Amino acid sequence: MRRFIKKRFNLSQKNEELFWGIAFSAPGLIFFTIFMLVPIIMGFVLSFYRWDVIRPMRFIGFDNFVKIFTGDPKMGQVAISTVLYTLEVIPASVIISLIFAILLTKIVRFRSFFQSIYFLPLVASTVAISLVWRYVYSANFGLLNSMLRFFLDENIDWLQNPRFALLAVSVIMIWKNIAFNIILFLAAVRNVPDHLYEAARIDGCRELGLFKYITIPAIKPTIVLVTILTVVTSFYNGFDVVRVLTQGGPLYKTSIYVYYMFEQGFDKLKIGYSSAISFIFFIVIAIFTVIQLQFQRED
Amino acid sequence: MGFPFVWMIIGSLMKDSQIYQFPPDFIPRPLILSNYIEALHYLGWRTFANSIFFTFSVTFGVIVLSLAAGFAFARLRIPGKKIIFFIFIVSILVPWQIGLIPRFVIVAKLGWINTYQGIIVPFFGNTVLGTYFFRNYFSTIPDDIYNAATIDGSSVPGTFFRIYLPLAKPAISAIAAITALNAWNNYIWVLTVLNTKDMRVLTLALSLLTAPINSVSMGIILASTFLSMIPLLLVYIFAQKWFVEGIGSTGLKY
Repeated sequence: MRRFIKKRFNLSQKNEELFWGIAFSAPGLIFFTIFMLVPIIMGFVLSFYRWDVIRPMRFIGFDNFVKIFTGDPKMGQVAISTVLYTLEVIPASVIISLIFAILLTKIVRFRSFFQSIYFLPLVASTVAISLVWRYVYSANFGLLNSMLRFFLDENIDWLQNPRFALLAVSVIMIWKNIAFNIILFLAAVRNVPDHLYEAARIDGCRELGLFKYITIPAIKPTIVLVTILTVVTSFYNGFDVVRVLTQGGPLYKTSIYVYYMFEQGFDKLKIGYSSAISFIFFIVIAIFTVIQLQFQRED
Repeated sequence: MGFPFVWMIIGSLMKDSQIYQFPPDFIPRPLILSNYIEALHYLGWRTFANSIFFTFSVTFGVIVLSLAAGFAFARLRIPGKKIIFFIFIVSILVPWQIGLIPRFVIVAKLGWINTYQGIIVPFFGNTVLGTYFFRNYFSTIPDDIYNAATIDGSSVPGTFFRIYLPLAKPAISAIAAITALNAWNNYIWVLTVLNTKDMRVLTLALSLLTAPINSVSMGIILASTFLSMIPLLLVYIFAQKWFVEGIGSTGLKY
């Protein structure tokens, strides 16, 4: 086979590598193009149309975008919910997991046991843990209420209460994120070269200072990576939680961007509008990511 | 941290009347298994089979495609390699939501709605992480080995199968674990494509348990949830070492 190809195309070693290079990478790239690249481009294009799957598409230019900013009364709430969600989930997910990771490096005994426990939420599907948490949050039978019994006058239904619903959802997300982030942070902290610590100790640095001046700067790239990943997964998985537990309510308080976009597209069949929403969202995320990467590059 | 899990297992062994006790009781009295039996009856073998088939196919496909592509990017020549790689990386930044509807449209136009190929094949497009990971991994294998093999008369695919592939086993476990995890727990894509009972996967069946809020007993819900996690937990226990190393090492390239 090889000799056949070599004779046929009169190939040198270099060209043989070219032939196989294309042969090996083509399948992956083809699937990528069809199911990743094309949908993304199509997605952007769709946002300029009005389409409800049943009737034919109609080009409407920027109407969808105008509607997002001015015509849709719920959009304001969606934006607020999304911002609140982001503020609640991201910092907590990153900071708490960092702390836990550092604590884990200090505990020598039973380490793999604790490690397994922390890792568990990752293995469970978001749908599954949402169901379990639903009980925790339940008004009359919930675990949370029974534990707060002494502080509350009446039972709160955390998921139905407009004031707390988003917070409840956020907590579930934080809980899940911590599992994954701890692993990344553990690996990063373990990789900080010992000689840096030794040098600092010789210079008279104490425990807390070590942490502040050696550990944190050394793992800064990982912190950036974890933050980006947390943002991405919080929005990806956040949908699951909202869909299962609150369906965007009550009063759209838990309708984060992701959920609203899905709802408009699939429940309400406003596909063009839905695509426009994702488009705007993408731009926001892109800006955010660029800022993050600039922050990293400054080191 | 692990409390919800502990509670889930305990709760699934209790009668509903005990679960709903306020303040809650933590020891099942009496300990019953009927929740599990009902859960299995409700979820059905078909659901498990669908999930397993789906996860397995997706993982297999993604591994094969990423291995080949990773090797190609690391060692072989590709026209426009840098540009392609750049597009690859940038595509991660785009939130998946943008592609969801068009991907659905493509699948619909192919006539794949509510079919196995409809849920599996689009996942073959998710080779970015795998390709990137394998490429880095293969790059660490010294050139000399490759050159020695070539001088000895090995063809390119021969070198791949005989040298690079066996060396890649830890990397394969890591990517396989991540891909399988995502496939098993996937909700939104299967929700979009599937719409009949016999095609259902576990995540869908679970979500339906909450539809009429209090008419399904909590014990059964907890039992179903736990059952849905068991296959993955088993895999996790066996593969834990590789899993943690794998995910951890993807963050290490800095």
